[in-house]
Amino acid sequence: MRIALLGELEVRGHDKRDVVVTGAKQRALLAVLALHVGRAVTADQLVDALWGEDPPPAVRNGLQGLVSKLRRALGSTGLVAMRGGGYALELPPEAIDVHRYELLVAEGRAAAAGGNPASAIALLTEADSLWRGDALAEFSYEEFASIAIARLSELRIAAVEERLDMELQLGRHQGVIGELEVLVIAHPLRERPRGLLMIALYRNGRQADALRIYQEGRRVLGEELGLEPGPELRQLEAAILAQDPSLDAPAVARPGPATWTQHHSTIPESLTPLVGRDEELRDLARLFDDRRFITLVGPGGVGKTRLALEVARAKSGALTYGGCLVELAPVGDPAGVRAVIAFALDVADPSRLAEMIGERDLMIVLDNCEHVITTAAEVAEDLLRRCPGLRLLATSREGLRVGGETIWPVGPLAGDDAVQLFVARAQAAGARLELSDDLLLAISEICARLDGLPLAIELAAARTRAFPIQQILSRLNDRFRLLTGGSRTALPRHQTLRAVVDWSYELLFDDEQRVFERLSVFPGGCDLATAQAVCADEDLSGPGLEDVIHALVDKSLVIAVRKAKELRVMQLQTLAQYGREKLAERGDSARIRDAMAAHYARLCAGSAAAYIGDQQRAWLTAVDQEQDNLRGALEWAVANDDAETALTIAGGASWPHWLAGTMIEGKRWLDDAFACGREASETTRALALTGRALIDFQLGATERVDADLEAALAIFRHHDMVASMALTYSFYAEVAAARGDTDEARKRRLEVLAFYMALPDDPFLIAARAYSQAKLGMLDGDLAHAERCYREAADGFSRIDRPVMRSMCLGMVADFDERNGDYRAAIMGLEEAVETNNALGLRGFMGALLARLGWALLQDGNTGRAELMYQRAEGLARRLNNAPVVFLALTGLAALHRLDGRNGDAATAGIEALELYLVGGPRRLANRVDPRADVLTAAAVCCAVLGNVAAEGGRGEQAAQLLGHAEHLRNDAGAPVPTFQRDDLDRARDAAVTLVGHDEFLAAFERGRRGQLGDDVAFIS
Amino acid sequence: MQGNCVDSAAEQRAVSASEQCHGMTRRQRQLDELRDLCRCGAVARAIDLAFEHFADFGRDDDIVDLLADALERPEAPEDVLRRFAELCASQR
Repeated sequence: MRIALLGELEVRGHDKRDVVVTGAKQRALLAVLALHVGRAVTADQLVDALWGEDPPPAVRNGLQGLVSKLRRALGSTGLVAMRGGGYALELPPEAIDVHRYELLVAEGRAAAAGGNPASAIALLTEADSLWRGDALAEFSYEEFASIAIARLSELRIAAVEERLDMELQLGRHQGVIGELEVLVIAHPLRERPRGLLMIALYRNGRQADALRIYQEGRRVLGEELGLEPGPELRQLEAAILAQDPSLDAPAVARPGPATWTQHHSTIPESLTPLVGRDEELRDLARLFDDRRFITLVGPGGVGKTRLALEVARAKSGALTYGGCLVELAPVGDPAGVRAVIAFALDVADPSRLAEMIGERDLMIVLDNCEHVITTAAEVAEDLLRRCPGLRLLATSREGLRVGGETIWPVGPLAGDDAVQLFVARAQAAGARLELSDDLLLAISEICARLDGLPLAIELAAARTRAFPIQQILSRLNDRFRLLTGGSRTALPRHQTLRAVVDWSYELLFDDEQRVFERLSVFPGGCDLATAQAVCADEDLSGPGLEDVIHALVDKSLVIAVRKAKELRVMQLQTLAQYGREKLAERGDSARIRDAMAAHYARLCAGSAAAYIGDQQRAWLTAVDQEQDNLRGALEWAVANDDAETALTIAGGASWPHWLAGTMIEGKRWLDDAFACGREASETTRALALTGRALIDFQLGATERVDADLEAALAIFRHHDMVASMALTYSFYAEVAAARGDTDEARKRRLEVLAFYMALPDDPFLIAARAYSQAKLGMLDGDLAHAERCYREAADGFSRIDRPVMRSMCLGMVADFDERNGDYRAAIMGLEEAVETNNALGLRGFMGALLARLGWALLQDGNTGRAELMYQRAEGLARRLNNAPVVFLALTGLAALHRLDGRNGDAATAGIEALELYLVGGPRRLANRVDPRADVLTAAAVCCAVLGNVAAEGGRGEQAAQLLGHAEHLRNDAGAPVPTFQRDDLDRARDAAVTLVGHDEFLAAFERGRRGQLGDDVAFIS
Repeated sequence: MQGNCVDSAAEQRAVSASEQCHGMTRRQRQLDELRDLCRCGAVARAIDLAFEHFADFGRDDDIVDLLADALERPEAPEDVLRRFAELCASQR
């Protein structure tokens, strides 16, 4: 169900049909509850909102009656629940457009703050498209809505201003003038849009107009408010008068091949401000103007990573495709280096990294290369050679020794900076410092003693909770004296950090030491629940363990970060390494690593249960977040020939790999696991066989798929493992259908249905039966039956929150909606599917969903959003090597470029699409009502676009042939001319007739209808 | 105290968190460890850990007494005595 408040109130049911809610009070009640979705609104608040200060007698009865009527109108009593003396609307926040809008704006702002203006623009554009009119339009005179209306209206204006600002940052000063003029007229007292308009006009060579805008603003502000313009606007006017070069448009990077269309930045924000390093930042930023590969070298703890991230943030914002952090510390096996880089860049096939990066301007930070230095160097060299726009920033203990590398030694912090860092970290640790000269001198001595190493300084500063500064100094002096045998000679620098870490470790109680060591086995850090599972023992568990972890955080030996509302703890690479050494010295290494691997094996063992159960969302999120740890656990299991653990992890993670589009990584995991010598249990083996079959099938290696699935099914049947059978059956029927073996597919689907029918009713099985019935309907050609069953299945899966199955059903339901001409319904369903897949990191289907959404939007006349969706689809599909979706996306983009009069771009996209279509390209699309027809329809669109371009280019005969071939493809598909192409086709026909004459046109048109594309029908000129 | 009553505090110091370790608090575990360190002569480390303990749980005169007892030997090094004095002077 969807409720829209950004305009007149609209309600759409699960079946996408409008839900009629009549009566002003009922509608107002729904609006109030929707604004507070998921939270209880007290009866008093509702009475106040609906009746104001003059409620009628027995108003509570009136309220109850209103709630009953609303429940009937919505078709479900469960949606408006009584809770805590009030009522709550039980829908997810994303069902309300206001909340979706706010989320998109927040994401857009985060992208902007992260230095990704292109991404931010896309998100803010998408956000703005949710508005259909004024917010809460029919309630504008109601008290309850006034605050929300004011807030949302202001948010909208601010978001639009931010988007236009970023458009200017990307050099798009021509396209924004119109929108800015409207904004200035509508909000004459707002200075920001006025300033942006001034900049846009100036950059368009209209400096007189820019100054006129300023003068108008000055007049209006003076007349209305008696104010002068603010300092920024005044400074802008002065800059324009002086023709200051800083106003000039930024250099726009030349566009690369059309793959990524937006910033891909994954450089994280830092948790604390960077102290010192101003000069280094400036010098490195300047160096990157004419160098492409810089390696920051230095000992552990000197701050290489921190400096690299700051440089990357500063420089990548100006690059078209931003910056990407690749953390190599968790990579145990050098063969995994390419895979980790590919994963960070959303590239499905690591062997095609260079091809995918192409010519784009992008910065990659390769952090912590030293333990995989040879492979990192090879990959770096390959990428730099083949990707001319790529910049690499690496951190390592030593250089990678690659041609073109600039080695930049990172030195310790200079005196004042070191002191500043110490003071900042001590204050953060809770120390109350009165910074007298004596104290500063002592701190300065400590920093000198610690050779200005930031990590050493942080560890020492963390101890100011317990020790006065002078005592920290004296202890460090004592320790170092011990290490140098009492001599006044300074400790060798590479030993300084070690000495401080030793000292810090020895200031831990035994329980703290144990937990510190045990946390070092998690390459990806861990959440508190996992720490409990792996690090606890008979002395230490529950709140006691958490206390110890918090103590380690206070002592800067562990970092706590919030990821998706969960607290995770992790260690810096240097400290993790130290922890692993101590763990080994204690003789606990194997036991704790075994426990860690077993923990993640248990997670993956829940694979089948998650497929059908109500923990699906949480499980998929966990698997996505724990990729580094899963990889680490698998490597440990494989190294110890532990087939049981290895196959559980690789097998359990296989269908998430499929959904995430990381099948090549998934295959590598399975291959490594199957290579283990020791035996695993047959049920574990069966889980891995299911995973192998799925991934092999998706990768086109089908020889043993049926054998693997049948073997797995036999084992699961024998052990009566219902969830595992459901998981395996879901692929078993599909593989036959996908290869076009209808009889076998029907036979298998009937077997699946019989399996579901034999089980006791429960909501999942009811929905799964409907899904199977839908599939049978498709196989039997009974589309009406299939459509009913898909809708029923989608509703069923929605009620029990099975996002994966629901989004599969939504794709099919959207297809039926389109066929029924209900593009709005199709758009809604596909948007929900896209959101679901996005939230769960399931990139595998995203491209196809985005392309389909683009098509529905195009049909609905929403060309701006359609172009955005197609661009995203194309970028994702190219990275994941999904040719059918690349084909669809290019088709859509060709049509859109043509509608926009961009014939050159239209031709480029259309030609590439048809080349894909011809050269062993797509013949059937997955999950479609008519998979073949949709391919033909798309190819027809391309031919029509190119026919139009040919006609406008004066090539009448070519135009006629292409138009003829387009008609042939449409006839074969049984599809009409798309609405958005009708006028264009008429124009093209007329133009071609004018060029070659009526008879010649008909002859060429007929040749096109009968000929083969490419051989007889030329589409490239 | 009257007549032959025994000071119970000395008896209670012997109660060990490690024997009933399950569910013991962090504070109790640390007390246990400090006691063990003193028993085995690692007084310097015990003093430093006492600083940490006081930072988390506040000053505890029982711990000061424990350490003082452990230091009642003629060969206690100068720097250890100095650290103990710093601990005693500590306000935390």
